[in-house]
Amino acid sequence: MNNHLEEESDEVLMLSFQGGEEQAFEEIVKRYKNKLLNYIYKYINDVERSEEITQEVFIRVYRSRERYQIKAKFSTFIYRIALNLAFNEVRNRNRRKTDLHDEFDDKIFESSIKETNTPERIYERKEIEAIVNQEINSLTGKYKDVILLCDIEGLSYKEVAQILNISIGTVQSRLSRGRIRLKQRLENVLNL
Amino acid sequence: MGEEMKQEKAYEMITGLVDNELSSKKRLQILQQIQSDHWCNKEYVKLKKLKESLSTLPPPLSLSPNFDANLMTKINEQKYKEPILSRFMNFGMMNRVAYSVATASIIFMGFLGVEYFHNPGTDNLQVNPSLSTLASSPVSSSVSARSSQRNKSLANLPVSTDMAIIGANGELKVYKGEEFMSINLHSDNPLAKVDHETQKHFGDMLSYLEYYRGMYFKEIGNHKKSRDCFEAFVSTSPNSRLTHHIQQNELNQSQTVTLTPDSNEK
Repeated sequence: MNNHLEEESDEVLMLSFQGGEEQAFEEIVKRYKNKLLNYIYKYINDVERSEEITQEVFIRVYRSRERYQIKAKFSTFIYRIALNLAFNEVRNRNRRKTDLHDEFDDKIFESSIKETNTPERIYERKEIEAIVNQEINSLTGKYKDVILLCDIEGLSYKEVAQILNISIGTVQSRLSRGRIRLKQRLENVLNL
Repeated sequence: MGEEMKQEKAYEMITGLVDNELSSKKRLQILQQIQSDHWCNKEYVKLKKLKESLSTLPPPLSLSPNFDANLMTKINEQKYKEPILSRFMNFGMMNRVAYSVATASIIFMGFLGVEYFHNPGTDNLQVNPSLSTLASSPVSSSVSARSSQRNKSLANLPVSTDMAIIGANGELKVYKGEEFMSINLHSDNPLAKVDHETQKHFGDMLSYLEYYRGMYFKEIGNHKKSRDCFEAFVSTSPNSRLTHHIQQNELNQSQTVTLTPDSNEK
């Protein structure tokens, strides 16, 4: 049964879930949990809360399963929930400046130690990643939204347009301007 | 400025090209421009590299090992909190019909129970004289009162939106459809403070005013006053079936009478 579910599209899984098949929901969790965690983390920059909010996304998917309609892509559905929750989190909590040191918490290092690269290489990569995340985070909200969804999460213009409730043309123009800003800031870091 | 806008437009097209989101016509157009224009070419290369760097950024976080277990615990908690309607809608159609019928039956039985067995040793007397049923039976204007009248069947109360409720403090609340008024039964001239329009609107209910007062004073044990009020009602409505009932039950006896609708209805 599990193999069968792995082959199904997200939309079919949701239909099965609506019909009462709980394993379909578990498969959806498996597919999206890491993506959402990192998407939300890039949005709110808070490790602990990112996991809590990721859980909240799935709880909402569970509760509102009847509202999902197959004509919409499931990724649109779930990312919209995630975006709303992340946005609310940022709006509600006190902003605090994150400097590079905050990025290097023990959890990140613990996972990277298992890799085969040298510590220097690992550190260098982490530093670049931290800078990139910081620059994405510093973008104006409307540019950050499209950069995260298109470039980080790999969603299409159409999906992003549906999630953000804007036109495809607007997605393209915001993406273009967001990338211009990122390119200017990251030119040296990424050797563009 | 013009050059800047041109570059911005070109960059937008390059963005679309890198993301594979352009129509074939626009794709061809920008590809030609990239081949012929040095700036476009340079920006295209940079943008491709930027996109690749961003899309291959490793996820900085991984989930805690308890994530799945914690999530299912929370979802199970939510299941118990889930709104009844939401859970109900998750049932199949036949089940929903069955549950709806069962629920409606229980509510209806509860309603009947309240109607039949309600002990109005609560402080209110409810009087609902319906003119249409008085014509057929005076006992239809049944009264719920204290324990002395337990046997009375409230099911015989006519269905009417007109109703009078006597409060323990002697306040009479009269309902006519969606309209409402109240007066003090203690007063010998309870309608003195009621304007003419209101009296006219509630006229059919207020024509039983002395009857209500009689019932109230009887309830509080002022039998003399009660009798006076009943006599006043009888004198103003000599041909009413209710008059006949009062004469037989209220004026001929000094003690509280238990109404037995079954025997009287027939």
